[in-house]
Amino acid sequence: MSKQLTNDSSASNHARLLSSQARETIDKVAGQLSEQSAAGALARGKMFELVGYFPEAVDSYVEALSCDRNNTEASARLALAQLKAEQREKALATATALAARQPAFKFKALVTNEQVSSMTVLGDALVGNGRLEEAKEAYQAARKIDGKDSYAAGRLAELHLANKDFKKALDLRKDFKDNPRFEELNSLMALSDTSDLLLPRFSRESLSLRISAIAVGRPLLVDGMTRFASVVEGDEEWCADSSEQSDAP
Amino acid sequence: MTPEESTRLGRAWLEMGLGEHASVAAFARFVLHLLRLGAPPELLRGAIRAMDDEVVHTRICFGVAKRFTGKAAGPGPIDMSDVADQPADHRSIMEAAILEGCIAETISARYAQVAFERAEDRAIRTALARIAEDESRHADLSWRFVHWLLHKFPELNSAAAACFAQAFSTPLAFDEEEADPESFEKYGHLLPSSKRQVAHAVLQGEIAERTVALLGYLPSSNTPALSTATAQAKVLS
Repeated sequence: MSKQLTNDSSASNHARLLSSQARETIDKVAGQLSEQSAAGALARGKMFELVGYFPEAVDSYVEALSCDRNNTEASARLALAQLKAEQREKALATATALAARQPAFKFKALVTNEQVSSMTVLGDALVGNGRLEEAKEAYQAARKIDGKDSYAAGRLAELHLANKDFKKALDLRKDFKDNPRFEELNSLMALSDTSDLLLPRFSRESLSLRISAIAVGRPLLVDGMTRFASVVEGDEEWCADSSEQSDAP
Repeated sequence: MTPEESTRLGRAWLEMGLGEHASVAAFARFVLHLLRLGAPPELLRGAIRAMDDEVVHTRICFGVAKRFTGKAAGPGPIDMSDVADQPADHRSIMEAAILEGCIAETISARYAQVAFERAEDRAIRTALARIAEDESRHADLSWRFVHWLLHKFPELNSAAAACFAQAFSTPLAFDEEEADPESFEKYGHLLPSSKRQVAHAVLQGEIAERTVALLGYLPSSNTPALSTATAQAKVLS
């Protein structure tokens, strides 16, 4: 979304809100950080997650589960931390098991007021693994569990947009329009309310690509991995003669 | 330049040569895909010509490498096991074209262009000018192919959108260590930091624009991007 459509006070308000909620979370966990217990490991995991140390957060949540394997919150946070640490397949396994065990489990996001369910976490994990149709089903299930799950609504709208189901996306707008997380999406959809010609201009910093070793040319990808030949020395036939003058040493 | 740096630079050009050589195989597979789909002759000829271009590029790169290493070298055999076993349904072919062509090749064409602009060695500039022009044409071929395919099989539009979205939402993997000196760029070897900048600029610019022109919108913007800093801000915390 073009930054021109947000304004400074909106961004400031959002930042202030996040700041106060982050402080609230920190205050809650600070006293437990040294505890050698599931609660202590869970607290450490949350702190690591807050500061962006995702692999460490994963380790702490795993530790919490080793102390208490039925700790549902640790399972849910583990799945999210695994996603952020780019352990996507593990995240999906964790989220799938959690959703099967406790589909209606709800917990509060660390720095927002969002109450989300296991099915929402599963939706995120499915998106992270490219299984978008299944993700839609998971978010829809999350909304059946809690019609006020604005996070699931926003995510679902994004998926509908990806499928060019503009009307379905627009129909969801009322359910996430008050969630600051989706401010940009909401603003854009407000502009496009009367038209199917949505031309999203979201922050392009989110665009990224993983193809291992993009070098030159068209990669030969086999099962997602690039293939190359090895180098054979002494082969003159492959060495074009550069007859131009050069500065070569 | 020290002898060690010269060897390293030569090795960098050897790696480029291997990349170009592998492109011959990638285009060979693309030709088979085009035949499988009943593609028009214009696309077939473009792909066949691209294969020839890549052979030329390979020889150029190994020739430059020889100047710096002092030794002739060439590519050995490529392991082609499983290459023929890759899925060949319409969707898989399209996804391969999007990933390998529309995205990877568009980026690599820009690498070559930037490398040409920064190179100061005359022979290397000549080589890179040729490579950049050809790679740009190859990237265009991929976009034309996907356009043709979506016109012929409109039911693939959703899958194309998902593929672009998926491709946009995963991080570009680069070596973080910059072991090579900046001076290598004078000899056509872009450093990882330069590549990262170029890749992101191309993704946010040309590739995004061409995706919009192809599909009518930018699907990548709507998919939760889970692996970048911005994306992580969106994931529940």
